[in-house]
Amino acid sequence: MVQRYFIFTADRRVLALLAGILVLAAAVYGQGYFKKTGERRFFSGFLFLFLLTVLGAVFSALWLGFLIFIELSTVALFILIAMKERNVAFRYLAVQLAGAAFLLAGIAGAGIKGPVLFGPVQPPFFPLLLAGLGVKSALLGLHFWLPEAHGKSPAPVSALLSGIAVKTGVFGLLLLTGGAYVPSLSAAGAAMALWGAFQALLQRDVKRLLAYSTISQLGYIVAALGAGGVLSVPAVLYHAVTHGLSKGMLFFCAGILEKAYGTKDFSRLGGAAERLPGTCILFFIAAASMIGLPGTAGFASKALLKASLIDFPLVSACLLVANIGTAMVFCKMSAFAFGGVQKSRYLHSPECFRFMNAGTAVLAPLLLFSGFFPGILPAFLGSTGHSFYTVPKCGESLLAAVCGVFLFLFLKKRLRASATRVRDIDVMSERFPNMIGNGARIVQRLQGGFLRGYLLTAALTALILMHLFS
Amino acid sequence: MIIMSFATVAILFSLGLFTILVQRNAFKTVIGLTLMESAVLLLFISWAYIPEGWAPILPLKGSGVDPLPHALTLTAIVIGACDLALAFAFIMKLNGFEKTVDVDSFRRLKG
Amino acid sequence: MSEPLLAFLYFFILLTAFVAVFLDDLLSSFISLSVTGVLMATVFALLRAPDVALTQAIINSGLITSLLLVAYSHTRRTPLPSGPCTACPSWLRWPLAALICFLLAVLLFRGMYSLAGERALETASTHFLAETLRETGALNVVAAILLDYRAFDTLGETTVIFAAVAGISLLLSGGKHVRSRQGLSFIVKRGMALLTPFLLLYAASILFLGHLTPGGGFQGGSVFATVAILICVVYGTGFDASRVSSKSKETLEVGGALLFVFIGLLGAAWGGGFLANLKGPFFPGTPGSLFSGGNMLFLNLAVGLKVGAGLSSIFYVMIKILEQEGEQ
Repeated sequence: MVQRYFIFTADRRVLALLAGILVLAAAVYGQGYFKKTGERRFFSGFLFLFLLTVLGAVFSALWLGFLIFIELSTVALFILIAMKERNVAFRYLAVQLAGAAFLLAGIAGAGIKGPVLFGPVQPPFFPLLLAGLGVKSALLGLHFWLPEAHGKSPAPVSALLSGIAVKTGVFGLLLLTGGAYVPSLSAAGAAMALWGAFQALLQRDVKRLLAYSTISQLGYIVAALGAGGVLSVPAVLYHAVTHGLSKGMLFFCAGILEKAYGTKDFSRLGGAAERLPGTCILFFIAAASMIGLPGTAGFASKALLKASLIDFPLVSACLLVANIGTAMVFCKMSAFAFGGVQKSRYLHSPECFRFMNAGTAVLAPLLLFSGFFPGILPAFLGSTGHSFYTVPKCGESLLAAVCGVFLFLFLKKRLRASATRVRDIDVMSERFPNMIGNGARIVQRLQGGFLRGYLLTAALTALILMHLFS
Repeated sequence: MIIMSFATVAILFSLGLFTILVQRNAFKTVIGLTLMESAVLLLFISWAYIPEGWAPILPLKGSGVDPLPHALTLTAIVIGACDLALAFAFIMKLNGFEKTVDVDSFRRLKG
Repeated sequence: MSEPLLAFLYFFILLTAFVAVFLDDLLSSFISLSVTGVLMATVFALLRAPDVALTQAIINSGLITSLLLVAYSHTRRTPLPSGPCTACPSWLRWPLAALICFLLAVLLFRGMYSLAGERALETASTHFLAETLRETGALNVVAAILLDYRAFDTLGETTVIFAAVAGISLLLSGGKHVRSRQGLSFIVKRGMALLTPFLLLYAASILFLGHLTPGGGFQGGSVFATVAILICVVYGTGFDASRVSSKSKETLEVGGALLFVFIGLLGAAWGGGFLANLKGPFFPGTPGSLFSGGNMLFLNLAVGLKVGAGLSSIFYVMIKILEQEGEQ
């Protein structure tokens, strides 16, 4: 039975490894994040459940199995988010279930003749599956849930969300296209990367900034996915792993800041470098990986991404600009949160953050290891013969980083906390219940309670239908 | 001849519907309902009629008319009477609440 | 079968229907509706449907009109609808409704026109007409269909009657029974006393001879209910109540339904299936005699009990409230 329903190829094992490491780190982190013993046990229990469901999804051989396990992992995440924030959890669940409905419709349609293998799907049902997976992996336009869900949930859960949950969606997309060239996905990916970086610059809240950065990095992944070719699979998976590890570390750091100062607002944070030196170092490692500085895993994965996009100069240029934007974003975070003057009262002593720092530190060695030995992961996936530490590549990434730093210093005052705010599509999720209520009010006024009016309308409709179908 | 019957059926049915749609008095609504039901009964019986057929009581002196719609119509008459009686009870009860038989004032189910 | 006669009747049916719809005086429109019912019964009789004609005349023109008058008396004190309609102005409503109804009539007529052709009997009907005497022992084919071939549907119909009676009793419950000895004048009471036995005989003959001649449980039961209504009207509710209480009416009604089911179960126990007639423990008898037709006699009795008790208790419930208000 296991052979029929589960497949254990190399690319899936990589993702499974990522999931396992992140869950382990989150478990250690959670021992320090949650105060009460009951909460800690609850958290660890559902963490384990989440891990099981993600493994089931990643190793599944059929689309239906993938869908079932993904939804179970959504439920597990819902319970984990609902430990602290119930409304956010419900909204997250609602959006994910809506996406799953599309996915299910596509699978049901494609599976009329028999079970659908976890692979490419024919054109009539391709858009349905794309829509469903787009909600999961936050494609442009379907990303409205991400800033709220990733920004407001507890820190370890955010790390899991950004690290694994969206990656399973991307993995589904990868197997859906099967390495084909999908130009719309490339374009969407480039747009996501730019938009995510742009929005991240304007955020006031630390975790929302990181959420938008997730959107940006997902844009990288989706652009490479859409490009197709033989390099797309290793590039996508490598960047997924790297981003998962580094974003996990960053969310953990944000959680530490939140616990230390009691706030997530940039205007009230500052001066963490002196009080939290360990956290500061870990943050810098993660940020360097996100920017793509040589010596970290991020450099290797970005190099591989750019190699896979060699034939698409426009997309590469967009990604370069997004890279500069990312550099600016993390300069902002380091300057406002870790640098500067302390503005809020410090709530706890550093000894309390043992577990949290330990959890974060679990992820760091892997980043550095991948950074110094970049060829190992692609070789594991079957793609060899890349040279990573060549002069052009190093120069490109350093150039991007330096540009970013300069632009940041230039625009520092504008990027201060209470600066401009560009509205994103996620305000719709606040306005949506109001819109539904207004629509209901209009219908209420139509239904005045007059029997003859109802009958007249019914008779008219019946007559029209009879004439149409006679 | 059956064309004449069908024409009557069509006119009677639409007359009943017209009454229900237009009149404000609840009793007129019930009258319209009665007319619609009578039209359907007439349709059944005129459809069952076979020229030069006898009534379906044995022994037949020739061919008979179709007895199956007759049975159906009998059931329909009795059930129609039951639902009309229920409609009267509704009108009496609503009159107790609203103190009028105006259909437009029975608006408790609005919205 | 003369066409001019039929055309004349149709014309008057439509005329009385128009009068019933458009007249403002409610009592006159009720009477006009009753006339429509009687004319329709005549048309049914001319179209060789005596059973249906009888049922239509008794139930539609007799019973429904009396219930209608009771409901009207109850609402007599409230003002009639007047004044402009707030939702949809009448200059829009009338033409729109007329248009809809006209289009509907055209559509219906076109549909029915394609049905009018050379009429031939279906296979089921030829089977019924040919084999009824042999398979059931009854002479009335329609009664045989209702009580033998499709007896289960008749059981469903009695359930509908039961539901209607229950619903009306529920809606119009409350209010104590008020004994009133008012009634009509002395002459009417004496006349009614002379007439009642014949009415009851008439009802019984319709009921018990239903498998031989046009009639049956429904028609007979309705005439019984009409007799009960007449007694109620002529002698006042007090008289009716002291003779036949509402509890016994309920018992009769439920007894009718249980008798029906019991007969059906007898057939099932015998091995013929639920409501089996000749395949159960029943005899066909000599065709044309009273005790023929297998279980159709008893089924007629059961249905008649049910319908009579049910319809008269509907009337009784409605009139009870009226009397109570009248006393105040």
